[in-house]
Amino acid sequence: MKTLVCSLWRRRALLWYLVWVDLKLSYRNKVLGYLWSLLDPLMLMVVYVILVQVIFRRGEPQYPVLLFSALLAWRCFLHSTQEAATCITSKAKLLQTVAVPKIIFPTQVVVSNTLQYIFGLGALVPMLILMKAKITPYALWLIPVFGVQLVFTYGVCLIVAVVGVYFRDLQNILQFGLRMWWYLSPGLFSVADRIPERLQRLYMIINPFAPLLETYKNILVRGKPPSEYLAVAAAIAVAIMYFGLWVFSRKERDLAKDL
Amino acid sequence: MSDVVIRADNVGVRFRLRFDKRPTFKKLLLQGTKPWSGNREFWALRGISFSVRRGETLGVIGPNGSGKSTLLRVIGGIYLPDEGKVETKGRVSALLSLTAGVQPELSGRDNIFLIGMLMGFPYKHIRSHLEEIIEFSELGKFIDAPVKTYSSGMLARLGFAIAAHLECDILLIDEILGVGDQQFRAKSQAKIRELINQERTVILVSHNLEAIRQFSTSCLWLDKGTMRAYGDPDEVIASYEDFLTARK
Repeated sequence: MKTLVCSLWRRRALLWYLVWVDLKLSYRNKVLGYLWSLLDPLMLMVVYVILVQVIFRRGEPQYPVLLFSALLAWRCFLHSTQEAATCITSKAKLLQTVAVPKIIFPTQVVVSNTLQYIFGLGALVPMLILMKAKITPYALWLIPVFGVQLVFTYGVCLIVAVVGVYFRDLQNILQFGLRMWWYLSPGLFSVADRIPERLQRLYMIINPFAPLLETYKNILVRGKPPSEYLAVAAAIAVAIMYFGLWVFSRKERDLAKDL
Repeated sequence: MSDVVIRADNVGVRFRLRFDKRPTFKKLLLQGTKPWSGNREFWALRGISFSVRRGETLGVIGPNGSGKSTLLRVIGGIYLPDEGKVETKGRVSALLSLTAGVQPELSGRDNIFLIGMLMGFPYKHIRSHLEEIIEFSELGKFIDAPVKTYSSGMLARLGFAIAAHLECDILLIDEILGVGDQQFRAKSQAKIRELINQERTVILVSHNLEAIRQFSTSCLWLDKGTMRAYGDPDEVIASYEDFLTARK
């Protein structure tokens, strides 16, 4: 496992170059270019706001910005995981030509999507101000909270990247599974409103995205500190990342052959 | 001993057979074949030992499916041997099919950096060789066009130019001698000859026995993943030719 991390570190220049190529390609030939990393989540937010507030007449005060603060972070996880599922299989030909540490590809996926998230904050910040969110020093919690999400995401991506090589159905399963996960996480609703009180504790423990999304809303919009469940999510995140690194180090040497 | 740059010692590479053709449900019922039964492993290479000194060229010959490309991949570090070991000194450029790493949406120029960095060269090193690569590839102004607009010949030229100009110690070549049009083919052959003369170590896989005879200092004949003969190119090629005529 140590050699795995070392191999990644030695090739960090390649990692940055691949991230740069990925960002360049995703905005290439688009008139609005980088604006899309702001527009994409914004447009999705509008869809949800129409669905929830206009059609179902639900939601709470400041609903759009609450939703957006959770949605932006979720999309970072969603896209990382989906891209990780194909990040090695799609490079089959390349990986049989050049000796590259395979771990560089899921890592690149996570780094690229993290940058996209940071660009996306460019839309969130003006929205927080416009919608009169309660901006307090608690907002600085964003960095450690996103850090927890990142550790979790990286672990999941490492696992998904390896599983994707042996089990091509994964992509289809993920597409459905991740959507389900989003609807079951407190993005479109808040825990206090929708989850029965006796189940709340269990809910916050088994779904790491429950405390994560709830915390984004609390620290950014409601001006409240994170709850203690964040520590549980952090523990799960570290365990998943450790497991991901373990799986990857076990399989790395076989990946090129099994593609 | 000191100038041996590639040493293979009893190398074996094993593949697991995958069920690309899964037994259908019907077959499963009628014949009772279990998907997990039968021999699930095969050795693409086994018991391969040789050594190559600095500046030498090893020619590798053998019929299709004899393990030639697998051998290059083991030396290039793409596959790790399941048995025995391979030692290499210096940077190995494993450009087996020269253009697998290209990103079609990017320009030729960006792809030079991309491929170079995938091969493990630092950015600065690539930049210092950029002009020679572009010049050798004869792509001219097309170097800034996306690679998806290139013809296959243009792509092959770009790939060859990159591999030939970034300075690696060991160059692995899989059937390179037929790249591009006649003029470029002559030029690439001249370049290979130049590389061989420059203390560069080359492993050359080819079906073109003339080329092997011309370039190699030693020759390895692979057959079904094992060594059939190894040694002086003229002798090995002669017995390989006998084998080929006998098979007809």
